[in-house]
Amino acid sequence: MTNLEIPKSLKTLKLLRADEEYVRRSRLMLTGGADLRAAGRPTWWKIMMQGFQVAATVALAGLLVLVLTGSFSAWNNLSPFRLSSLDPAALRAEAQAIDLQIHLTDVGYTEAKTAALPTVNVSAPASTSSASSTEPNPSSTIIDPTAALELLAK
Amino acid sequence: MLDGEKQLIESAVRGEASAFGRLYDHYQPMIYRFVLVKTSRREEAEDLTHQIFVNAWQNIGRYREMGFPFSSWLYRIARNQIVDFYRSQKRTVSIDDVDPEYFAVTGEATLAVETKLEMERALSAVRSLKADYQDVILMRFVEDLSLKEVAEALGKSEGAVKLVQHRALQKLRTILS
Repeated sequence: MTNLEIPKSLKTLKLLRADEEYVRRSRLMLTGGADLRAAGRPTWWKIMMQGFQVAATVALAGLLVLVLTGSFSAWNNLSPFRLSSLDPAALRAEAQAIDLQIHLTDVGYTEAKTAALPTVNVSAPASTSSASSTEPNPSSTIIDPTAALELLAK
Repeated sequence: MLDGEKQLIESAVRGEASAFGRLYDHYQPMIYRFVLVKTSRREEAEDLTHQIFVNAWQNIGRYREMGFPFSSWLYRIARNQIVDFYRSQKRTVSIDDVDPEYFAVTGEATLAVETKLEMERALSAVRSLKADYQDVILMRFVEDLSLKEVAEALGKSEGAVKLVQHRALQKLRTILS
């Protein structure tokens, strides 16, 4: 074989090629993982952009809160259809009503408490002392609950 | 050299996967051939080629600092990868033991019988050469790299590459005759 024929023969090795499916998979694995590799490497631009994103998120959230609270005030002052829940007079009246209900509840609670109190038996005169002092006396007098409370207080 | 290779490399250094994908498309066949000649088994060649490009992608940021042509840099990675592979395997494969099925050739069925025989003869001859001779023959006569690129890939002077090339061709002529 001459010196000219050898390179020609060697050129046939260019026909050696990898399986197309392997090439496709290998390329996909490389370029698929590449984004992760790039994402993992911090750059000034990326850090700046991340900071900007956080700042923009906080600013937008603040703006949303302002718009929401402001819209209630605006509605209350400007809209002909007032919200009853935002009317100070209505709120005051409601607050008073709540207060009254509390008082009423207290009263109810007191009544229930006094009704539950045991009756106080007063011993009968000596003529009836034959009966055992431990047994309840059927002739005992039931006193007024308020008086019983005063008695208990003493 | 690939058109717009410098820009592609710069984009790949910045982390653009599509840019590295284009570099892969261009250089994968030559690196695969280089590895296949040295490993003789298709599966090993595929695994090693993939690993070479994984290493290249992971270390592409260091490429510019070294100042090599991209092809030379890839060949350097390939050579190191192959050395590591054989160091871990600690075994050798006889050319006679190689299954012809491991020769992955695109459209092999459509190749003329004469071409296929010629290719297998050339492959067998190259595989019988020393590693250094193989490198020079593959880079210079199969992939058409310049003397400078080969010298940088092998870490030798251009004069040394010329000398190796001369000796390798002499050896090949003896084998093929």
